[in-house]
Amino acid sequence: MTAWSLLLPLVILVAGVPLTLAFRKKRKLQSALALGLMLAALGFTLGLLRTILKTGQPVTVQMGLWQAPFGITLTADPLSVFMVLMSQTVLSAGLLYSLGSTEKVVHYPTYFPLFLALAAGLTGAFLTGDLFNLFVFAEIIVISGAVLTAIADDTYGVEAAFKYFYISTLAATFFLLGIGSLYVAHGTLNLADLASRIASDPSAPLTTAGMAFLTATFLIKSAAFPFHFWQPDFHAAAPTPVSAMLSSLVVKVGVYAFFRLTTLLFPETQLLKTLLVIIGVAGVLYGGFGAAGTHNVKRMLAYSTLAQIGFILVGIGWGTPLSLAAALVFTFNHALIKAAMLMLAGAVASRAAVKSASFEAVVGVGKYHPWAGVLFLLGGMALAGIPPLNGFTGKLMIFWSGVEAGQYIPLLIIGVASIVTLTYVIRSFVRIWFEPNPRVKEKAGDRLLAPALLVLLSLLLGIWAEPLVSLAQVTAAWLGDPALYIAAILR
Amino acid sequence: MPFMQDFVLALPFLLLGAGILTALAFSRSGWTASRLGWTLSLFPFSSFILALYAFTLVPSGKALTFSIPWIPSLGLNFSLYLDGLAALFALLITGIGTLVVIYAGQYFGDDASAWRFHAYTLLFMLAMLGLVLAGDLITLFIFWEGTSISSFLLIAYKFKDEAARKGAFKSLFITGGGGIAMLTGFLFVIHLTGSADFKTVLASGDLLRTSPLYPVLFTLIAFGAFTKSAQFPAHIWLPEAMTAPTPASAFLHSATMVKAGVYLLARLNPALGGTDTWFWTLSIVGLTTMLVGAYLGFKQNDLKPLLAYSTISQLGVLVALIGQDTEIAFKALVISILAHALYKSALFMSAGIIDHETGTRDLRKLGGLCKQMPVMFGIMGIAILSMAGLPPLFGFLAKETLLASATHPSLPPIVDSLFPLTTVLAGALILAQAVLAVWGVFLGKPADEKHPPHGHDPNFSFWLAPAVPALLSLLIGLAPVEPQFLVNFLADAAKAAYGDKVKVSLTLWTGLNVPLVLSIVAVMLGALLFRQRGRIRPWMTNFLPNFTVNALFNGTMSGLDSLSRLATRLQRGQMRFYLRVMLLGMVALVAMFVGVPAGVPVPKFEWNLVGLNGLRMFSLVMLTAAALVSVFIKRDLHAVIALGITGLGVAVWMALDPSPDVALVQIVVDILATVILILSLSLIPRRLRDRANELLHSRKGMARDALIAGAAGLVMAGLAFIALNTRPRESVVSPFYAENAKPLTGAKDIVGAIVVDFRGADTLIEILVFAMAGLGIYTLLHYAARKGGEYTREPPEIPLRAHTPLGIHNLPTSPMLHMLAYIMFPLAFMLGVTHMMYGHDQPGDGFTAGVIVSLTIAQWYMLFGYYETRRKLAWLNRNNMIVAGLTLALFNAAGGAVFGGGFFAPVNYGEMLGLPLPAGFGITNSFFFEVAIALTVMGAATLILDNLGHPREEDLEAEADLAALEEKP
Amino acid sequence: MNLLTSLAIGILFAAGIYQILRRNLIRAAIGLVLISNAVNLFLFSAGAYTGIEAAYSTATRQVSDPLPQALVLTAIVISMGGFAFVLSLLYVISTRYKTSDSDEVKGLKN
Repeated sequence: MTAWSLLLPLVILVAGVPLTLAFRKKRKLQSALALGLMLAALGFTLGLLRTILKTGQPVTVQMGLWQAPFGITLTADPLSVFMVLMSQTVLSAGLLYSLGSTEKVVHYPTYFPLFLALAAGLTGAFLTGDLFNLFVFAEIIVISGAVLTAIADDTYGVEAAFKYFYISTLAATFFLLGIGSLYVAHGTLNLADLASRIASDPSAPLTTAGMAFLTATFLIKSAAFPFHFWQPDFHAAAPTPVSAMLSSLVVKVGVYAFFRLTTLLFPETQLLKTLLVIIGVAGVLYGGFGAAGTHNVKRMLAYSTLAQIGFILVGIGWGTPLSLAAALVFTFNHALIKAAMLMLAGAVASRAAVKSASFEAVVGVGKYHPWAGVLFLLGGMALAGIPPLNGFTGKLMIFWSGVEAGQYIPLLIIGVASIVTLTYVIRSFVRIWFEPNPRVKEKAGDRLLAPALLVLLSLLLGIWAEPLVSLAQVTAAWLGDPALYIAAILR
Repeated sequence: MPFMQDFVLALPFLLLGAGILTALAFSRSGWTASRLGWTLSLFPFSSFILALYAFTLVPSGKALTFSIPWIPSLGLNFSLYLDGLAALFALLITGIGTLVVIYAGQYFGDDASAWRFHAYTLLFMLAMLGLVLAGDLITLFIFWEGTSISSFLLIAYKFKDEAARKGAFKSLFITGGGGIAMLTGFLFVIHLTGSADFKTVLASGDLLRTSPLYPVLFTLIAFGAFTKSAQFPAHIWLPEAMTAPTPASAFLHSATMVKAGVYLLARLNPALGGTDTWFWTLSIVGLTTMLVGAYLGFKQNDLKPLLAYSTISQLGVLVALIGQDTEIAFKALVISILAHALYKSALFMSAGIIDHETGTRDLRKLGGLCKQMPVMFGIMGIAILSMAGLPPLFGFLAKETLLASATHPSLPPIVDSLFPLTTVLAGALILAQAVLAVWGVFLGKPADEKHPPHGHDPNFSFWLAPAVPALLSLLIGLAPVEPQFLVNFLADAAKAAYGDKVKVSLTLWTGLNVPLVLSIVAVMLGALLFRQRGRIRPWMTNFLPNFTVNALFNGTMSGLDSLSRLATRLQRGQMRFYLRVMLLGMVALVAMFVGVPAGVPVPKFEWNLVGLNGLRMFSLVMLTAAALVSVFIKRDLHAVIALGITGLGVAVWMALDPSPDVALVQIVVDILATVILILSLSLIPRRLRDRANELLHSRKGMARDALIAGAAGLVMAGLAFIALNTRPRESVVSPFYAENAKPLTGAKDIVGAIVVDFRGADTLIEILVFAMAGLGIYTLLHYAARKGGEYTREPPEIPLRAHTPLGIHNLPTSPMLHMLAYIMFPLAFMLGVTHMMYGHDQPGDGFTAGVIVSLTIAQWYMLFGYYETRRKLAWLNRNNMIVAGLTLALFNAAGGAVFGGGFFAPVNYGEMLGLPLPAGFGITNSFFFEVAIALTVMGAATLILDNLGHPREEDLEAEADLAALEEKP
Repeated sequence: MNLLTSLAIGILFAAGIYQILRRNLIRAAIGLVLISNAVNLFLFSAGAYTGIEAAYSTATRQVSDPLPQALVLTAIVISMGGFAFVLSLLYVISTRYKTSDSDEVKGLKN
């Protein structure tokens, strides 16, 4: 039955939380279990993708058989599955890294339950078709992410979690206000139902207010300038495998929401799209310069996430089929690359004399780890969008869509910014691998398997980009016609 | 067999790829560089042969193409394209590449780690070959970036030396930046022509030239080409790239890297050339570069920079030639490309040898080596004369044709005089520095007579590499009959670039004509310059001593840095600042969105007090007053109590609306919140909190915060006002719940039905959140915070497992209280159970149950102390409760799938089994769900309470686990 | 009536915001609760209609809109969990940074 093809990827992960918690005393078993469940979920997601591509119809499950809009609807439409596939791929790598990590945090008995809760939250947030349910899933992401950061070996973990949590509470507040406003305006919470009602009565009271609050929420969640301030602090202090997930996936919840807002809920609102372009461009610049100016590798990568999210938002804002597809490709690639880079940074830091990712600590550490260097260089090329790495396809498509949309000024700015990207990537590489370092280094450190796999995947997706690009184009085409989504759920 | 023909193009890549792999394979073999060099030279050599063979397959004036789809959904292919022009470059790359690999082997001698260099070289060769064989713009760009990266690796090969790092970064920054501009330009072209393929692009020249976007795309593409080909003012990366090992320089700066831009311009000339923009830009940039290069070159004392600047000058010439839309210019172009590649590679390699043998490249230290190194004298002499453009060398031919094109009548009048003039001047300077080099190395006396340089000719295999191109440039010049193959070959190349037939002749003596005269003038002028070098060169170094564009680059860099500092300074780490920005952002967004679409219809305001009874009024006043008190009161404890009162006010309000369930939960949560707040007040030292309270930053700051809070409050109030004024209105979903709660879920309590049935998924995740919070606190306080050793580990105040009348923190407690506790616990338990059983019909639910029970457990902690309680209630394992709760919840949902036909579907097991049950209680999966909720919440809440309650006490479990962690690697 | 209610909500919210902008971490924590109270009240008032009777299927007269109540229930629980976690964070911060002043919690910047 198709319902399970949608439920399994989510339920497996939710069930993983109590399961791994039950085995908290047997670490080996626990970790193996966590990874196994994660991979199983990934496998089922692939199956789900196959189903919806074969039928050309999204899979929809009405929880408890309560027909939409009365119950809670889970929907696997191309966009959702695209995002789930992305996150579960990277999450598996994250778990793999955790197994080989030398940090204390991964040995705590509650680490894997929390990690799986994060995974479940991400999967659910992408799959749900209900606004309030999205809020709940967003909260599970927030709490597990904050906890995982707070318990980091890094003394600053608590500070990072504290800032993040206050700001997320603010975001949650805005989210609830938005939900309330939209419920006042249209009396329903189901996305499809909302979309159809907004379309039929756009001038209902508080509709615009709801839009404003949701925009504020997701600007905070996607850490877009100037709602980003928590992000570099947070991502830099988290344990390596966690920060890889946060910087590559968690911010994508906001991105996903903007895909929905601009194509499903408020497709007619030009203001929102324009705003996204402006904010995106600002983020690209700010993130680029921040990354070039900061003192810590992880932090540099966090800033660069800010910039890359900017690229994506610009793509969403332009709103042409090509630019949407570009944004999707960019989203996917960025997830892979950023996770790999953060893991590599962490792996290097774990080999530094002083366990820290700050440049003073890691200068020259790479010298004795040439393979990490090769991976880092490849990852950096991907980040800077240099062929044949997958970052190139995303950049190519963004620029291309900009040319076709005739958006010359944003194009100019992001062009300049991508030179800045090249600059800081190469600088950091030179610092870590070429500059001499007086300090003695340790040979042992975090295992490189996970980032290696991610980089290889990036290389593969760069050379054989067709599958990803065509999938993105299918998705973009699907997003182009909200009526399809609505019909699929309210049939 | 057409396929084979096409595939011939792909083969060289495979060969070079194989070469790279071989280099890697031998990385551990300990083979010496020379041995490896000989072996690896087979790969470029065979691909040279292949390229030659492929060229013979090309029907004259046509092209050989090979294409496989890359991203079909974007219409992008990976395609190759071989015509005369591409063939010229391909042969140069593979041919000189072969020599460079052999040469590098000799250069690094028995250095076993040089496999890295060989690998980089072959990688670069691969990229370069791809660049010139690319069949469409995107493929070209891909290989273009490839050359940037691989040359970065080559230049930074000696990365211990800071200059090498700097030079590598600089070249990558400049060429990479140009690459991005070029890509954008390409995208414009693709956008206009609808295809990236050269066959289409080259055919649609008129379309492009007439398009309004032409200036944009021309600028972008030209920028890319200029940066790569080191045109003024982007030439600055090239001299610093000289920090690369000499074999790399010989390869990069003679035939390959720097020619990429020239190739691109020549390639696109049929499509983009012929316009005034094209002509003026290329001519001016090219000529300027030619002069600047020649001028700076004459200043140098070091052999390699001298050659580098002459390269720059030569590149300027080539660019300027492409700018001319005349047949003869393109004849000059192809001849110069070939000539320059030959003599420049020979010169660089010779310079390397001299450096290698004598240990210096400084002309002031060198001198009089002609006796010690006759062979090198011969080789370098030939090459340098060719560079100087003296007969009977091939370089002479190049200069002749160049001058001829310079004096060609078909040029616009202004240039007609300017072009020859600059050419002659530059030619003179080049000649002067050429002679300078030979003189400085072989003939002239070393500045320091005491220590003349020592060196002798290297063995054959070392000087072979430079000898070959040097001899070639001699032979082509001397050839009695012009070699027909070469003539056709160059004609084809020129035709491909020019777009029309070009007649090429290689005869040296073309009679006494203007070009000859000019070149005689140039030679004499050059000779004069050389004679007067003693005066001129010092003067040159003093005149504009720091005449350099590097200031521009450094300026860019420092500008970038200052912007970065600006960006990071904004990130000041102060959370309140972050919060302020985001609140203002929210207000701004609301103003923008609500303001723009003509505002929302604000309901007309009437002062009606309908439904305002005493109690409601009371609750309103209570909660607002308490809230304000909590803000303004001094002591934290009082503020907390005020907060509690606020919560109660909210509860009352909710009860009045009326909605007992919410009110109940609100009360319970309010109590819980107050309790844990008081607990943490006891945890955070008083003095710290008081200090923080006294740190009342300036009145201005407070006013600002008040303003922000006020604005937010206004937004909120307005929102609520509009919301309230829309009531009553019909809801879409609620009537459905009201009707179906009882019949479908058997619940009298509609809210309860929504929580556990209609929106059960929400609740499941909600308790997951709560559980994660509990686990988080547990992990943080028992593991993470302990690790840091922040705790002042006080010994446990009581011997473990010893019964004691003392409560938490040794507070004496009375048996009376104990008795109370003993009674309270079962009572609370009963209460909880009833909540679960009748939650479906009455107010209250599993959550309330869980919190109530855990609160009583907290009371036990207070009274019996932590360990005593843990001992008394050992069966209450908090983590296991969470496990059980979540598992039950999931099984329950799955049960719905099994018996009810859908995940979370309601099932009434009681009915199924026909059990006799009291009214209002059914064994439904809603009931089990309530139990699950209660278990989870109880576990989590207990974790929260006892961890916040006693973090300082020793915890054996945590200690043991931490110890276990220490053992782990 | 509506005016008074919305004013109350507004004041509650403003008070909360002002509190989270205080330097004392405990006050900031109090602010969180105030905010969540205000938001819950708003959600509550977002109900489609006020009832005279509680939302029970046995009710004979107009019942109040049940859905927002359910949402508020969920929201309350979630914010409760988060709040408890924040308190534990504050405790660890006070031990690690030896301060209760949020402006001195600046280990991470630039």
